[in-house]
Amino acid sequence: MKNTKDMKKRLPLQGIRVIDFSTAWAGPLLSRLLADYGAEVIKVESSSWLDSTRLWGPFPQEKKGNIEASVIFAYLNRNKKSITVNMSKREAGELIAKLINISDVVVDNFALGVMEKWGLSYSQLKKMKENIILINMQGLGRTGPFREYATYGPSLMCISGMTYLWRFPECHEPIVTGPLPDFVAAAHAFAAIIAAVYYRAKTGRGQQIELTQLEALASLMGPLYMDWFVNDRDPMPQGNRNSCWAPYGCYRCKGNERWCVITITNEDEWRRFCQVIGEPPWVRDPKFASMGDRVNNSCELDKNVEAWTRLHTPHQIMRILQRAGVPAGVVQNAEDVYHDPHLRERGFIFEMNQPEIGFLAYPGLVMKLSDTPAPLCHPAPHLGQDNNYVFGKVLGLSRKEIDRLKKEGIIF
Amino acid sequence: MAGLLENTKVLEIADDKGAYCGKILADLGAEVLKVEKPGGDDTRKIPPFKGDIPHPEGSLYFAYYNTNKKSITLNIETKNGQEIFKQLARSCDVIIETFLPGKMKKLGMDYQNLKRANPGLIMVSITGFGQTGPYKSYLANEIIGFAMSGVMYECGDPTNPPTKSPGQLTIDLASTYAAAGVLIALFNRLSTKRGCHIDVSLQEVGAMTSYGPHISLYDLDGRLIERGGQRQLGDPAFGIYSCKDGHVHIGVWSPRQWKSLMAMMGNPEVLLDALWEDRLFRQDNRDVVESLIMDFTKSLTKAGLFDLGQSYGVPCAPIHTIAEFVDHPQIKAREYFIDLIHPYLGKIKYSSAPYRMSGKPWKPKRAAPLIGRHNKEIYTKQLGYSPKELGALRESGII
Repeated sequence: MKNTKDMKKRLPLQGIRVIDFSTAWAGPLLSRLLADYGAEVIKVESSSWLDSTRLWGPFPQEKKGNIEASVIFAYLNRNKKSITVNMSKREAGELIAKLINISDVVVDNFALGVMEKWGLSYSQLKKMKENIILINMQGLGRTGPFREYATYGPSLMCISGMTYLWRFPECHEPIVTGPLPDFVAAAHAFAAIIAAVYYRAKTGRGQQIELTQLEALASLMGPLYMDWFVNDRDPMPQGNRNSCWAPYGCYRCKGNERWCVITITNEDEWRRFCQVIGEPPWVRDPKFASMGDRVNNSCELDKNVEAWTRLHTPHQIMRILQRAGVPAGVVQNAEDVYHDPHLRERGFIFEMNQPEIGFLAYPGLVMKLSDTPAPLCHPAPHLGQDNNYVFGKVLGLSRKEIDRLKKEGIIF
Repeated sequence: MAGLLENTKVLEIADDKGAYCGKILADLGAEVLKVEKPGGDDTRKIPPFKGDIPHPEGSLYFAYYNTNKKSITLNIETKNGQEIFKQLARSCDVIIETFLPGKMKKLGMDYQNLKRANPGLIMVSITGFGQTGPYKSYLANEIIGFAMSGVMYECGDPTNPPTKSPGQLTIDLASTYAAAGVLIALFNRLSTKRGCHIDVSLQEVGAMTSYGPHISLYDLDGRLIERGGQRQLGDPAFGIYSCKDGHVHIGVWSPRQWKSLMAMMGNPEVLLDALWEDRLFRQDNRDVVESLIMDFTKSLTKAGLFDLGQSYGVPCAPIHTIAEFVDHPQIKAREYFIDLIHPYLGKIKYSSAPYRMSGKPWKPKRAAPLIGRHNKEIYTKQLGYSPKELGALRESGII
């Protein structure tokens, strides 16, 4: 009985060891997802080349610039181990080769050429471990005339066409929106790596995965590109407008910068909506009789809808409309999300004690698997925190040997 | 060549929330059976359409999200339909579903019930708010999930309402994670011989995609990120500028990148003081920085600034329209768009997968299926119905 219980407690990716060379956002988020589900992720760092998120912060007031107190670093690197090596030294390369020999996955999101310079190309990794899985996550890919271009999340969003489209038509200049491409790349890389891990478990074969961050983002815009190919149409910004349904969009509510979203996609929902807002006279206007009429007169319709939403808080509106079977939600800000009773009850928001930061709320697991225990929750590692464990326990080096490597600046 | 997921059988009974999950698995080589209601899935009504003419086989949206899948029709609101679904569930590996929590149970098709006949079954449920919690029965879609996640609040320009993304970002990300969850479960099943139920919530997936972990930043010092338009984060060295033929994004984060930007602009004397390396100082004196960057970018082209930024180490990127992306030499050189032939749409270009795997290269095989295209194959060959029985099912509106 004890055995089955233990089996149940096992995290699904337990036993998979990942050597993670990635820095900044997309790569570390990917390896954190692997770590959240039980993989042993060893983050390869160096005192001479810090992961930029250690420097970005934000930091608690009194810890400005403390590389162990960056909130974003804590968020992206929980559940991982950290070792420090100076890759410009030959012996460091040998240590890494030994480590790769007993690992399963290697993660790289450097600009093209860095891993090759360190002797860590796929063909070289294969010599260290025949069935290794390597993921290379370059911004624009490993082939083509722009392959060596360094890119960041916002650049990728601009290049893909997404930035151009993400605004209201009334807004004449493009605007900046979050580091989404990093999340999109990490999610696709996560799926691809596990596909490769599964395939290896069945066949014994490893492989190289070339994940192009730009293409991951483009995967989310397939129909827009097809519209260009098939209909010769270069899509224009639409804001929240929908060409099939109205009312559909974001409406101002009572309060400062308070907004809700309402989406009415069929006649039933429309009737229930009219009823629940008290059948004001305008709902009988023939201009709004059918879905087609409402779409054609959506500007006027939206004004009428907003006259009602302005009387209520967004949470009131969500409650009133959802109870009546009309899809609606609150445009929550971070404060709302932090207090969200639903997310709290589901355990999505959890408190983690990062030593130099203290307790802070973080987003939790991105999906819940039945039969899987509560996730591991180790704070992000201090720089080089696991040198003794990894080089001593995992690689079996003696204390004396480790001290020498430290003294000679190889473990650094 | 079959893909990585050869011999994996997937049933997809899902609306727009699950179609991309099915597509990822199908593109990796799984046999994905899309269960449509008789007459066709509602996502076939989503534009754009070929020639802008609504037609059940003419939706480019449907065509994109259903490559490599098979289609059968089945009315699961009928007893017979439910029985047939359970029969299919007995021999499949994965079910993707997107109903409101409770609906599958009402139909007798919930995970607890189905796994009795198939203990290795893996089910993934992709819903607005997940399977538990006070909002679990709330209706949701892309924009509601995005709004409730706290990210939409941060997106847009201050003179317009919070703005959704183009496409369906939250849904597609949720579907990607769902696919990863299925793969984790398949891997885990090799040793445990048991399946599992995976719960994916649009709201939670969305909440992971904010600038930093927004709840942590709020918890840290009460900060809220407001819609900032072109300079969302306040720093004039991180924002959008117009140039000769459109706009570019300049994305300076680090002091090193700031120095590179200065070098690229010929080290303007006004900005040489080390004080300017501080993001907050720049923010307080934004007009000075802004007008100098504007003067610099306005005489150059987007492509020129992209190249120049690379040579100086400044994150700087062109803002493309869809057509400009499609025509970009990098996209062309990588042959990112590939041709597939669809019986109604003809030969058209599709995006390929964003990962290229050396073990089993991604290979597009089939365009999206016509409605019920595989009824005969599945019902007669797999489930063993006679042509007469099939006719009867068709007449009674079950398929």
